[in-house]
Amino acid sequence: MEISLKLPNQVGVIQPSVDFVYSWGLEHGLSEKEASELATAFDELITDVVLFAFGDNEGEFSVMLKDTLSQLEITVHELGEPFDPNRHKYSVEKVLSEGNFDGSGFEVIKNLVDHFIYIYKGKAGKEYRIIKEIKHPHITQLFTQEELAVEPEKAVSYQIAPVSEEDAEDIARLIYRAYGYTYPKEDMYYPDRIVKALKEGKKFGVIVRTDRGEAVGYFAVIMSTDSNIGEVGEVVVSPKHRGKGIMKMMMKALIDMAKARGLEGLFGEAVTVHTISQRVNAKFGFKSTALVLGFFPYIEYKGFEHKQQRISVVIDFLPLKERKVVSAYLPEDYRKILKEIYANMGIELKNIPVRKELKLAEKSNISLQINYRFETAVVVVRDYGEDFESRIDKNIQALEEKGMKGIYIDLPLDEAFTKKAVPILKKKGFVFSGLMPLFHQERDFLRMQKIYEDLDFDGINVFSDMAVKIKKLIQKEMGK
Amino acid sequence: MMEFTKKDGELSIVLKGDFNYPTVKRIENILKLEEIDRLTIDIGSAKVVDSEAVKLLFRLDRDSVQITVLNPPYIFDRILNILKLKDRFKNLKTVKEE
Repeated sequence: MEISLKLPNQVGVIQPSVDFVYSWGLEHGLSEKEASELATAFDELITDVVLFAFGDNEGEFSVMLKDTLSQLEITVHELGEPFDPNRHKYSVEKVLSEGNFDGSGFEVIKNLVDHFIYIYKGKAGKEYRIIKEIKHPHITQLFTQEELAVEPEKAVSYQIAPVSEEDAEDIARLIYRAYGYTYPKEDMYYPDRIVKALKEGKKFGVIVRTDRGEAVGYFAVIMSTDSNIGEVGEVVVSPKHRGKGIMKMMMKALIDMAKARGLEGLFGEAVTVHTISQRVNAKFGFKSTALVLGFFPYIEYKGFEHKQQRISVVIDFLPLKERKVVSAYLPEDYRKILKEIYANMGIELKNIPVRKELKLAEKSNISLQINYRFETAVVVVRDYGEDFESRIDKNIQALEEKGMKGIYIDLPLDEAFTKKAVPILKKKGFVFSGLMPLFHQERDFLRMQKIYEDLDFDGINVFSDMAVKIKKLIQKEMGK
Repeated sequence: MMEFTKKDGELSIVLKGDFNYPTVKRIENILKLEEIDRLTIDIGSAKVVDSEAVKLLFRLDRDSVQITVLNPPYIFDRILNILKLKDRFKNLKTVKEE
Protein backbone atom coordinates (compact mmCIF):
# COMPACT_ATOMS: atom_id res chain seq x y z
CA MET A 1 0.00 0.00 0.00
CA GLU A 2 1.16 3.53 -0.67
CA ILE A 3 0.49 6.52 1.55
CA SER A 4 1.08 10.02 0.23
CA LEU A 5 1.40 13.15 2.34
CA LYS A 6 1.78 16.76 1.27
CA LEU A 7 3.39 18.90 3.94
CA PRO A 8 4.28 22.57 4.29
CA ASN A 9 7.88 23.47 5.22
CA GLN A 10 6.97 24.30 8.81
CA VAL A 11 8.68 23.02 11.94
CA GLY A 12 5.27 21.99 13.27
CA VAL A 13 4.98 19.14 10.76
CA ILE A 14 8.19 17.40 11.88
CA GLN A 15 6.99 15.72 15.06
CA PRO A 16 3.60 14.39 13.90
CA SER A 17 5.07 12.99 10.69
CA VAL A 18 7.98 11.37 12.57
CA ASP A 19 5.46 9.83 15.00
CA PHE A 20 3.48 8.53 12.04
CA VAL A 21 6.53 6.96 10.40
CA TYR A 22 7.51 5.27 13.67
CA SER A 23 4.04 3.71 14.08
CA TRP A 24 3.97 2.77 10.39
CA GLY A 25 7.31 0.99 10.78
CA LEU A 26 6.09 -0.96 13.80
CA GLU A 27 2.86 -1.86 12.07
CA HIS A 28 4.78 -3.28 9.10
CA GLY A 29 7.00 -5.62 11.06
CA LEU A 30 9.96 -3.55 12.27
CA SER A 31 11.18 -4.06 15.83
CA GLU A 32 11.09 -1.03 18.17
CA LYS A 33 14.81 -0.45 17.57
CA GLU A 34 14.44 -0.65 13.79
CA ALA A 35 11.36 1.60 13.82
CA SER A 36 13.34 4.06 15.91
CA GLU A 37 16.17 3.98 13.34
CA LEU A 38 13.77 4.53 10.45
CA ALA A 39 11.96 7.36 12.28
CA THR A 40 15.28 9.03 13.13
CA ALA A 41 16.49 8.80 9.52
CA PHE A 42 13.20 10.28 8.36
CA ASP A 43 13.42 12.99 11.04
CA GLU A 44 16.87 13.98 9.78
CA LEU A 45 15.63 14.13 6.21
CA ILE A 46 12.53 16.23 6.73
CA THR A 47 14.22 18.50 9.26
CA ASP A 48 16.73 19.29 6.55
CA VAL A 49 13.96 19.88 3.99
CA VAL A 50 11.96 22.08 6.36
CA LEU A 51 14.96 24.17 7.42
CA PHE A 52 16.96 24.49 4.23
CA ALA A 53 15.20 23.37 1.04
CA PHE A 54 13.25 26.56 0.44
CA GLY A 55 15.48 29.21 2.03
CA ASP A 56 13.21 31.78 3.70
CA ASN A 57 10.30 31.04 1.39
CA GLU A 58 7.21 29.01 2.04
CA GLY A 59 7.07 25.72 0.22
CA GLU A 60 5.54 22.28 0.15
CA PHE A 61 7.10 18.86 -0.04
CA SER A 62 5.64 15.42 -0.52
CA VAL A 63 6.27 12.21 1.35
CA MET A 64 5.35 8.80 -0.01
CA LEU A 65 5.44 5.72 2.19
CA LYS A 66 5.42 2.39 0.43
CA ASP A 67 5.58 -1.07 1.96
CA THR A 68 6.53 -4.22 0.11
CA LEU A 69 6.81 -7.70 1.60
CA SER A 70 10.45 -7.24 2.52
CA GLN A 71 11.08 -3.53 2.85
CA LEU A 72 9.72 -0.11 3.70
CA GLU A 73 10.51 2.75 1.36
CA ILE A 74 10.02 6.45 2.06
CA THR A 75 10.36 8.92 -0.78
CA VAL A 76 10.61 12.64 -0.02
CA HIS A 77 10.21 14.94 -2.98
CA GLU A 78 10.63 18.70 -2.97
CA LEU A 79 11.00 21.56 -5.43
CA GLY A 80 13.33 23.68 -3.34
CA GLU A 81 16.74 25.12 -4.04
CA PRO A 82 19.42 23.00 -5.73
CA PHE A 83 21.43 20.97 -3.28
CA ASP A 84 23.79 18.03 -3.49
CA PRO A 85 24.24 15.96 -0.31
CA ASN A 86 27.39 14.43 -1.77
CA ARG A 87 29.10 17.79 -1.37
CA HIS A 88 28.40 17.89 2.35
CA LYS A 89 30.61 15.19 3.81
CA TYR A 90 30.56 14.73 7.54
CA SER A 91 33.92 14.96 9.27
CA VAL A 92 34.42 14.33 13.00
CA GLU A 93 37.65 16.34 12.80
CA LYS A 94 35.65 19.37 11.67
CA VAL A 95 33.27 18.85 14.57
CA LEU A 96 36.11 18.69 17.08
CA SER A 97 38.13 21.58 15.68
CA GLU A 98 35.39 23.96 14.49
CA GLY A 99 32.16 22.63 15.95
CA ASN A 100 31.07 22.19 12.32
CA PHE A 101 28.42 19.45 11.98
CA ASP A 102 27.95 19.88 8.23
CA GLY A 103 26.77 16.61 6.66
CA SER A 104 25.94 15.01 10.02
CA GLY A 105 22.27 14.50 9.14
CA PHE A 106 23.07 12.59 5.94
CA GLU A 107 25.74 10.59 7.75
CA VAL A 108 23.09 9.51 10.26
CA ILE A 109 20.58 8.65 7.53
CA LYS A 110 23.08 6.53 5.56
CA ASN A 111 23.89 4.50 8.64
CA LEU A 112 20.38 3.98 9.96
CA VAL A 113 18.76 2.63 6.81
CA ASP A 114 19.68 -0.10 4.35
CA HIS A 115 19.64 2.15 1.31
CA PHE A 116 19.68 5.91 0.82
CA ILE A 117 19.41 7.36 -2.66
CA TYR A 118 19.35 10.94 -3.85
CA ILE A 119 18.13 11.96 -7.30
CA TYR A 120 18.42 15.49 -8.62
CA LYS A 121 15.65 15.91 -11.20
CA GLY A 122 16.40 19.39 -12.46
CA LYS A 123 13.22 21.44 -12.79
CA ALA A 124 11.25 18.53 -11.36
CA GLY A 125 12.99 18.97 -8.02
CA LYS A 126 14.90 16.62 -5.77
CA GLU A 127 14.01 13.18 -4.54
CA TYR A 128 15.37 11.32 -1.55
CA ARG A 129 14.61 7.67 -0.88
CA ILE A 130 15.27 5.81 2.33
CA ILE A 131 14.73 2.07 2.56
CA LYS A 132 14.61 -0.20 5.57
CA GLU A 133 14.55 -3.97 5.16
CA ILE A 134 12.08 -5.95 7.28
CA LYS A 135 13.76 -8.85 9.04
CA HIS A 136 11.29 -11.74 9.15
CA PRO A 137 12.32 -15.18 10.42
CA HIS A 138 13.64 -17.41 7.62
CA ILE A 139 12.14 -20.89 7.27
CA THR A 140 15.49 -22.37 8.39
CA GLN A 141 15.13 -20.49 11.68
CA LEU A 142 11.72 -22.03 12.27
CA PHE A 143 12.54 -25.69 11.50
CA THR A 144 15.56 -27.96 11.81
CA GLN A 145 17.32 -29.26 8.69
CA GLU A 146 15.93 -32.76 9.46
CA GLU A 147 12.38 -31.43 9.59
CA LEU A 148 12.87 -29.49 6.37
CA ALA A 149 14.33 -32.48 4.54
CA VAL A 150 11.28 -34.72 5.00
CA GLU A 151 9.95 -35.47 1.52
CA PRO A 152 6.34 -36.72 1.27
CA GLU A 153 6.14 -40.25 -0.14
CA LYS A 154 4.19 -41.13 -3.28
CA ALA A 155 0.48 -40.45 -3.04
CA VAL A 156 -2.67 -42.24 -4.15
CA SER A 157 -4.38 -38.98 -5.09
CA TYR A 158 -3.95 -35.21 -4.92
CA GLN A 159 -6.27 -32.41 -3.86
CA ILE A 160 -6.00 -28.86 -5.13
CA ALA A 161 -7.32 -25.86 -3.17
CA PRO A 162 -6.99 -22.08 -3.16
CA VAL A 163 -4.07 -21.09 -0.99
CA SER A 164 -4.75 -19.49 2.40
CA GLU A 165 -2.69 -17.87 5.16
CA GLU A 166 -2.56 -21.18 7.06
CA ASP A 167 -0.57 -22.67 4.16
CA ALA A 168 2.33 -20.20 4.53
CA GLU A 169 4.70 -22.43 6.51
CA ASP A 170 4.07 -25.43 4.29
CA ILE A 171 4.79 -23.33 1.19
CA ALA A 172 8.09 -22.01 2.57
CA ARG A 173 9.13 -25.56 3.54
CA LEU A 174 8.19 -26.83 0.10
CA ILE A 175 10.25 -24.14 -1.62
CA TYR A 176 13.24 -24.87 0.59
CA ARG A 177 12.96 -28.62 0.07
CA ALA A 178 12.75 -28.28 -3.71
CA TYR A 179 15.21 -25.47 -4.33
CA GLY A 180 17.48 -25.16 -1.30
CA TYR A 181 18.62 -21.54 -1.22
CA THR A 182 18.43 -21.06 -4.98
CA TYR A 183 14.87 -19.82 -5.43
CA PRO A 184 15.22 -16.24 -6.68
CA LYS A 185 12.08 -14.88 -4.97
CA GLU A 186 13.48 -14.60 -1.49
CA ASP A 187 10.15 -13.70 0.10
CA MET A 188 9.11 -17.32 -0.34
CA TYR A 189 11.45 -18.43 2.45
CA TYR A 190 9.64 -16.23 4.97
CA PRO A 191 6.22 -17.49 6.09
CA ASP A 192 5.37 -14.04 7.54
CA ARG A 193 5.84 -12.46 4.13
CA ILE A 194 3.66 -15.09 2.47
CA VAL A 195 0.92 -14.44 5.04
CA LYS A 196 1.22 -10.68 4.53
CA ALA A 197 1.01 -10.97 0.73
CA LEU A 198 -2.09 -13.16 0.93
CA LYS A 199 -3.74 -10.99 3.57
CA GLU A 200 -3.20 -7.85 1.51
CA GLY A 201 -4.39 -9.48 -1.72
CA LYS A 202 -0.97 -9.10 -3.32
CA LYS A 203 -1.20 -12.63 -4.63
CA PHE A 204 -3.55 -15.55 -5.05
CA GLY A 205 -2.81 -19.14 -5.83
CA VAL A 206 -3.36 -22.82 -5.32
CA ILE A 207 -1.79 -25.51 -3.19
CA VAL A 208 -1.76 -29.21 -3.95
CA ARG A 209 -1.73 -31.76 -1.12
CA THR A 210 -1.46 -35.53 -1.05
CA ASP A 211 -4.29 -37.67 0.30
CA ARG A 212 -2.31 -37.55 3.59
CA GLY A 213 -2.46 -33.74 3.57
CA GLU A 214 1.21 -33.11 2.79
CA ALA A 215 1.88 -30.06 0.62
CA VAL A 216 3.57 -31.06 -2.65
CA GLY A 217 2.70 -28.27 -5.08
CA TYR A 218 2.16 -24.54 -5.01
CA PHE A 219 1.59 -21.99 -7.75
CA ALA A 220 0.64 -18.33 -7.33
CA VAL A 221 -0.09 -15.20 -9.30
CA ILE A 222 1.49 -12.01 -7.98
CA MET A 223 -0.70 -9.03 -8.72
CA SER A 224 0.95 -6.12 -10.50
CA THR A 225 0.79 -2.96 -8.39
CA ASP A 226 0.62 -0.84 -11.52
CA SER A 227 -1.81 -2.61 -13.84
CA ASN A 228 -4.62 -5.14 -13.92
CA ILE A 229 -2.33 -8.03 -14.80
CA GLY A 230 -0.55 -10.67 -12.74
CA GLU A 231 2.67 -12.62 -12.82
CA VAL A 232 2.63 -16.41 -12.69
CA GLY A 233 5.57 -15.92 -10.46
CA GLU A 234 5.84 -18.56 -7.77
CA VAL A 235 5.79 -22.23 -8.56
CA VAL A 236 7.09 -25.36 -6.95
CA VAL A 237 6.41 -29.07 -7.19
CA SER A 238 8.01 -31.41 -4.67
CA PRO A 239 10.75 -33.46 -6.44
CA LYS A 240 9.20 -36.90 -5.84
CA HIS A 241 5.84 -35.73 -7.17
CA ARG A 242 6.96 -34.30 -10.49
CA GLY A 243 5.61 -35.80 -13.72
CA LYS A 244 2.19 -36.49 -12.16
CA GLY A 245 0.34 -33.63 -13.86
CA ILE A 246 0.42 -31.40 -10.77
CA MET A 247 1.90 -28.45 -12.67
CA LYS A 248 -0.76 -28.70 -15.38
CA MET A 249 -3.54 -28.94 -12.81
CA MET A 250 -2.26 -25.84 -10.99
CA MET A 251 -1.71 -23.72 -14.11
CA LYS A 252 -5.23 -24.47 -15.39
CA ALA A 253 -6.69 -23.52 -12.02
CA LEU A 254 -4.68 -20.29 -11.90
CA ILE A 255 -5.75 -19.19 -15.37
CA ASP A 256 -9.40 -19.81 -14.41
CA MET A 257 -8.95 -17.85 -11.17
CA ALA A 258 -7.28 -14.98 -13.02
CA LYS A 259 -10.14 -14.84 -15.54
CA ALA A 260 -12.72 -14.92 -12.76
CA ARG A 261 -10.96 -11.98 -11.12
CA GLY A 262 -11.14 -9.98 -14.35
CA LEU A 263 -7.39 -9.77 -14.98
CA GLU A 264 -6.45 -8.55 -18.45
CA GLY A 265 -3.43 -10.79 -18.76
CA LEU A 266 -0.88 -13.03 -17.09
CA PHE A 267 2.84 -12.97 -17.61
CA GLY A 268 5.79 -15.09 -16.64
CA GLU A 269 9.42 -14.13 -16.11
CA ALA A 270 10.92 -17.41 -17.23
CA VAL A 271 14.60 -17.90 -16.44
CA THR A 272 16.97 -18.66 -19.32
CA VAL A 273 19.28 -20.94 -17.35
CA HIS A 274 17.07 -23.70 -18.78
CA THR A 275 13.97 -23.67 -20.98
CA ILE A 276 11.62 -25.74 -18.79
CA SER A 277 9.52 -22.80 -17.54
CA GLN A 278 9.42 -21.30 -21.03
CA ARG A 279 8.15 -24.61 -22.44
CA VAL A 280 5.45 -24.83 -19.77
CA ASN A 281 4.36 -21.26 -20.50
CA ALA A 282 4.24 -21.98 -24.25
CA LYS A 283 2.13 -25.08 -23.63
CA PHE A 284 -0.50 -22.93 -21.94
CA GLY A 285 -0.63 -20.31 -24.69
CA PHE A 286 1.79 -17.74 -23.32
CA LYS A 287 3.70 -15.83 -26.04
CA SER A 288 7.21 -14.47 -25.67
CA THR A 289 7.36 -10.68 -25.88
CA ALA A 290 10.72 -9.64 -24.41
CA LEU A 291 14.11 -10.80 -23.23
CA VAL A 292 15.25 -8.94 -20.12
CA LEU A 293 18.99 -9.28 -19.70
CA GLY A 294 20.65 -9.78 -16.32
CA PHE A 295 17.41 -9.27 -14.44
CA PHE A 296 18.65 -10.78 -11.19
CA PRO A 297 22.00 -11.82 -9.72
CA TYR A 298 23.63 -15.18 -10.38
CA ILE A 299 22.38 -18.09 -8.33
CA GLU A 300 23.10 -21.73 -8.88
CA TYR A 301 20.14 -23.72 -10.19
CA LYS A 302 20.11 -27.22 -8.74
CA GLY A 303 20.56 -29.86 -11.45
CA PHE A 304 21.59 -27.46 -14.23
CA GLU A 305 25.03 -26.65 -15.45
CA HIS A 306 25.02 -23.00 -16.34
CA LYS A 307 27.23 -19.95 -16.73
CA GLN A 308 28.12 -17.95 -13.65
CA GLN A 309 26.50 -14.73 -14.76
CA ARG A 310 23.45 -12.65 -13.93
CA ILE A 311 20.21 -14.38 -14.86
CA SER A 312 18.19 -13.16 -17.83
CA VAL A 313 14.47 -13.80 -18.22
CA VAL A 314 12.03 -14.17 -21.10
CA ILE A 315 8.75 -12.33 -20.65
CA ASP A 316 5.93 -14.65 -21.71
CA PHE A 317 2.46 -13.10 -21.89
CA LEU A 318 -1.00 -14.60 -21.95
CA PRO A 319 -3.77 -12.15 -22.88
CA LEU A 320 -6.97 -12.89 -20.98
CA LYS A 321 -9.11 -10.34 -22.81
CA GLU A 322 -9.22 -10.23 -26.55
CA ARG A 323 -7.56 -7.34 -28.39
CA LYS A 324 -7.82 -7.61 -32.16
CA VAL A 325 -6.12 -4.40 -33.22
CA VAL A 326 -3.69 -2.09 -31.44
CA SER A 327 -2.61 1.28 -32.79
CA ALA A 328 0.76 2.50 -31.60
CA TYR A 329 3.59 4.90 -32.34
CA LEU A 330 6.23 2.50 -33.57
CA PRO A 331 9.88 3.52 -33.49
CA GLU A 332 11.39 2.92 -36.92
CA ASP A 333 14.14 0.57 -35.73
CA TYR A 334 11.72 -1.76 -33.96
CA ARG A 335 8.63 -1.55 -36.19
CA LYS A 336 9.19 -4.97 -37.74
CA ILE A 337 9.91 -6.91 -34.55
CA LEU A 338 7.05 -5.25 -32.65
CA LYS A 339 4.60 -6.16 -35.44
CA GLU A 340 5.80 -9.76 -35.22
CA ILE A 341 5.47 -9.85 -31.42
CA TYR A 342 1.90 -8.52 -31.57
CA ALA A 343 1.00 -10.82 -34.48
CA ASN A 344 2.28 -13.76 -32.43
CA MET A 345 -0.30 -12.80 -29.77
CA GLY A 346 -3.00 -12.64 -32.45
CA ILE A 347 -3.09 -8.85 -32.49
CA GLU A 348 -2.86 -6.69 -35.59
CA LEU A 349 -0.56 -3.74 -34.97
CA LYS A 350 -1.14 -0.45 -36.77
CA ASN A 351 1.51 2.22 -36.88
CA ILE A 352 0.33 5.77 -36.13
CA PRO A 353 2.33 8.20 -38.26
CA VAL A 354 3.52 11.47 -36.71
CA ARG A 355 2.87 14.32 -39.11
CA LYS A 356 3.00 17.42 -36.93
CA GLU A 357 5.84 18.70 -34.81
CA LEU A 358 5.41 17.28 -31.33
CA LYS A 359 4.44 19.62 -28.54
CA LEU A 360 5.52 18.42 -25.13
CA ALA A 361 4.51 19.46 -21.65
CA GLU A 362 7.16 21.18 -19.54
CA LYS A 363 7.74 18.20 -17.28
CA SER A 364 7.81 14.48 -17.94
CA ASN A 365 5.94 12.03 -15.77
CA ILE A 366 8.58 9.44 -14.95
CA SER A 367 8.59 6.96 -12.09
CA LEU A 368 11.38 4.80 -10.83
CA GLN A 369 11.14 1.32 -9.35
CA ILE A 370 14.36 0.10 -7.76
CA ASN A 371 14.99 -3.48 -6.74
CA TYR A 372 17.89 -3.05 -4.32
CA ARG A 373 18.43 -6.76 -3.81
CA PHE A 374 18.55 -7.49 -7.53
CA GLU A 375 20.51 -4.27 -8.16
CA THR A 376 18.19 -3.35 -11.00
CA ALA A 377 15.88 -0.46 -11.73
CA VAL A 378 12.91 0.06 -14.01
CA VAL A 379 12.30 3.61 -15.19
CA VAL A 380 8.71 4.02 -16.35
CA VAL A 381 8.01 6.92 -18.67
CA ARG A 382 4.30 7.63 -18.41
CA ASP A 383 4.24 10.95 -20.27
CA TYR A 384 6.96 12.87 -22.06
CA GLY A 385 7.94 16.44 -21.29
CA GLU A 386 10.64 18.80 -22.54
CA ASP A 387 12.88 17.62 -19.72
CA PHE A 388 12.74 13.96 -20.84
CA GLU A 389 16.39 13.55 -21.78
CA SER A 390 17.80 15.44 -18.80
CA ARG A 391 15.54 13.50 -16.41
CA ILE A 392 16.69 10.22 -17.93
CA ASP A 393 20.33 11.32 -17.67
CA LYS A 394 19.88 12.22 -14.00
CA ASN A 395 18.15 8.93 -13.24
CA ILE A 396 20.90 6.98 -14.99
CA GLN A 397 23.61 8.92 -13.17
CA ALA A 398 22.01 8.31 -9.75
CA LEU A 399 21.46 4.61 -10.52
CA GLU A 400 25.00 4.12 -11.82
CA GLU A 401 26.39 5.80 -8.70
CA LYS A 402 24.33 3.36 -6.66
CA GLY A 403 26.00 0.47 -8.53
CA MET A 404 22.92 -0.84 -10.35
CA LYS A 405 23.71 -3.75 -12.67
CA GLY A 406 20.74 -3.34 -14.99
CA ILE A 407 18.61 -0.34 -15.97
CA TYR A 408 15.37 -0.91 -17.91
CA ILE A 409 13.37 1.92 -19.41
CA ASP A 410 9.71 1.40 -20.35
CA LEU A 411 8.43 3.73 -23.08
CA PRO A 412 4.68 4.08 -23.74
CA LEU A 413 3.72 2.97 -27.22
CA ASP A 414 0.64 5.23 -27.18
CA GLU A 415 2.83 8.37 -26.98
CA ALA A 416 4.22 9.81 -30.21
CA PHE A 417 7.52 10.87 -28.66
CA THR A 418 8.49 7.23 -28.15
CA LYS A 419 9.56 7.30 -31.81
CA LYS A 420 12.12 9.95 -30.90
CA ALA A 421 12.99 8.54 -27.49
CA VAL A 422 14.36 5.31 -28.93
CA PRO A 423 17.28 6.88 -30.87
CA ILE A 424 18.03 9.08 -27.85
CA LEU A 425 18.31 6.02 -25.59
CA LYS A 426 20.28 4.05 -28.16
CA LYS A 427 22.92 6.80 -28.13
CA LYS A 428 23.18 6.30 -24.38
CA GLY A 429 23.93 2.59 -24.83
CA PHE A 430 20.43 1.16 -24.43
CA VAL A 431 19.27 -1.74 -26.59
CA PHE A 432 15.97 -3.43 -27.33
CA SER A 433 14.41 -5.66 -24.72
CA GLY A 434 10.91 -6.17 -26.09
CA LEU A 435 7.25 -5.50 -25.54
CA MET A 436 5.78 -5.24 -22.03
CA PRO A 437 2.06 -5.69 -22.81
CA LEU A 438 -0.39 -3.84 -20.53
CA PHE A 439 2.43 -3.45 -18.00
CA HIS A 440 1.65 -0.05 -16.54
CA GLN A 441 -1.89 1.30 -16.16
CA GLU A 442 -3.05 -1.24 -18.76
CA ARG A 443 -0.91 0.42 -21.46
CA ASP A 444 1.63 -1.27 -23.74
CA PHE A 445 5.28 -0.32 -23.29
CA LEU A 446 8.46 -0.82 -25.26
CA ARG A 447 11.30 -1.82 -22.94
CA MET A 448 14.89 -0.72 -23.58
CA GLN A 449 17.74 -2.01 -21.45
CA LYS A 450 21.33 -1.35 -20.45
CA ILE A 451 23.40 -3.96 -18.65
CA TYR A 452 26.51 -3.19 -16.64
CA GLU A 453 27.97 -6.70 -16.50
CA ASP A 454 29.26 -8.74 -19.38
CA LEU A 455 26.90 -11.52 -20.46
CA ASP A 456 27.68 -14.59 -22.51
CA PHE A 457 24.69 -15.10 -24.82
CA ASP A 458 25.49 -18.81 -25.13
CA GLY A 459 24.32 -19.08 -21.51
CA ILE A 460 20.98 -17.47 -22.32
CA ASN A 461 18.66 -20.28 -23.44
CA VAL A 462 15.42 -19.34 -25.11
CA PHE A 463 12.71 -21.66 -26.34
CA SER A 464 10.05 -20.03 -28.53
CA ASP A 465 10.71 -18.87 -32.08
CA MET A 466 9.81 -15.35 -31.05
CA ALA A 467 12.23 -15.36 -28.15
CA VAL A 468 14.93 -16.57 -30.54
CA LYS A 469 14.20 -13.62 -32.87
CA ILE A 470 14.28 -11.15 -29.97
CA LYS A 471 17.54 -12.57 -28.68
CA LYS A 472 19.13 -12.31 -32.16
CA LEU A 473 18.10 -8.67 -32.49
CA ILE A 474 19.53 -7.82 -29.06
CA GLN A 475 22.78 -9.64 -29.85
CA LYS A 476 23.06 -7.72 -33.09
CA GLU A 477 22.48 -4.39 -31.34
CA MET A 478 25.07 -5.24 -28.72
CA GLY A 479 27.53 -6.45 -31.33
CA LYS A 480 27.72 -9.86 -29.67
CA MET B 1 6.31 17.63 25.26
CA MET B 2 8.75 18.46 28.07
CA GLU B 3 8.89 19.57 31.68
CA PHE B 4 11.73 21.60 33.10
CA THR B 5 12.91 23.14 36.37
CA LYS B 6 15.80 25.46 37.04
CA LYS B 7 17.57 25.68 40.39
CA ASP B 8 21.02 26.97 41.37
CA GLY B 9 22.42 26.95 37.83
CA GLU B 10 21.06 23.51 37.07
CA LEU B 11 18.47 22.98 34.39
CA SER B 12 16.53 19.73 34.72
CA ILE B 13 14.46 18.57 31.80
CA VAL B 14 12.21 15.58 31.40
CA LEU B 15 11.34 14.97 27.78
CA LYS B 16 7.93 13.50 27.08
CA GLY B 17 8.80 12.77 23.48
CA ASP B 18 11.64 12.90 21.00
CA PHE B 19 14.95 14.70 21.27
CA ASN B 20 15.06 16.40 17.88
CA TYR B 21 14.93 19.82 16.27
CA PRO B 22 11.56 20.99 17.69
CA THR B 23 12.72 20.04 21.21
CA VAL B 24 16.16 21.54 20.70
CA LYS B 25 14.54 24.84 19.72
CA ARG B 26 12.51 24.84 22.95
CA ILE B 27 15.59 24.12 25.03
CA GLU B 28 17.54 26.83 23.24
CA ASN B 29 14.77 29.29 24.03
CA ILE B 30 15.13 28.45 27.74
CA LEU B 31 18.90 28.78 27.52
CA LYS B 32 18.55 32.26 26.02
CA LEU B 33 16.99 33.39 29.27
CA GLU B 34 18.93 31.30 31.77
CA GLU B 35 22.64 30.86 32.37
CA ILE B 36 23.37 27.30 33.43
CA ASP B 37 26.40 25.27 34.45
CA ARG B 38 24.61 21.91 34.75
CA LEU B 39 22.03 20.19 32.57
CA THR B 40 20.17 17.04 33.52
CA ILE B 41 17.98 15.72 30.74
CA ASP B 42 15.84 12.61 30.95
CA ILE B 43 15.34 11.26 27.42
CA GLY B 44 13.89 7.89 28.39
CA SER B 45 10.71 8.57 26.39
CA ALA B 46 12.49 9.49 23.17
CA LYS B 47 12.21 7.10 20.25
CA VAL B 48 14.14 9.56 18.08
CA VAL B 49 17.38 11.35 18.94
CA ASP B 50 18.85 13.20 15.99
CA SER B 51 21.97 15.12 15.03
CA GLU B 52 20.37 18.41 16.12
CA ALA B 53 20.19 17.03 19.66
CA VAL B 54 23.82 15.91 19.50
CA LYS B 55 24.83 19.36 18.22
CA LEU B 56 23.15 21.01 21.21
CA LEU B 57 24.79 18.69 23.72
CA PHE B 58 28.17 19.08 22.05
CA ARG B 59 27.94 22.87 22.16
CA LEU B 60 26.98 22.86 25.85
CA ASP B 61 29.77 20.39 26.52
CA ARG B 62 32.28 22.73 24.88
CA ASP B 63 30.84 25.55 27.02
CA SER B 64 31.80 23.45 30.06
CA VAL B 65 28.22 22.70 31.08
CA GLN B 66 28.12 19.47 33.13
CA ILE B 67 25.61 17.26 31.34
CA THR B 68 23.78 14.25 32.70
CA VAL B 69 21.70 12.30 30.22
CA LEU B 70 19.20 10.13 32.06
CA ASN B 71 17.82 6.92 30.60
CA PRO B 72 19.28 7.25 27.12
CA PRO B 73 17.42 5.02 24.65
CA TYR B 74 19.24 2.74 22.21
CA ILE B 75 19.17 5.36 19.46
CA PHE B 76 21.22 7.85 21.51
CA ASP B 77 24.25 5.56 21.64
CA ARG B 78 23.73 4.61 18.03
CA ILE B 79 23.84 8.23 16.83
CA LEU B 80 26.95 9.02 18.89
CA ASN B 81 28.66 5.97 17.40
CA ILE B 82 27.68 6.94 13.86
CA LEU B 83 29.03 10.46 14.37
CA LYS B 84 32.16 9.05 16.07
CA LEU B 85 31.51 11.23 19.11
CA LYS B 86 30.92 8.59 21.75
CA ASP B 87 34.09 9.32 23.72
CA ARG B 88 34.55 12.91 22.62
CA PHE B 89 32.41 14.63 25.23
CA LYS B 90 34.37 16.05 28.15
CA ASN B 91 31.53 16.81 30.52
CA LEU B 92 28.78 14.33 29.66
CA LYS B 93 27.71 11.30 31.62
CA THR B 94 24.82 8.96 31.05
CA VAL B 95 22.79 7.37 33.84
CA LYS B 96 20.28 4.56 33.48
CA GLU B 97 17.72 4.73 36.28
CA GLU B 98 16.21 1.48 37.47
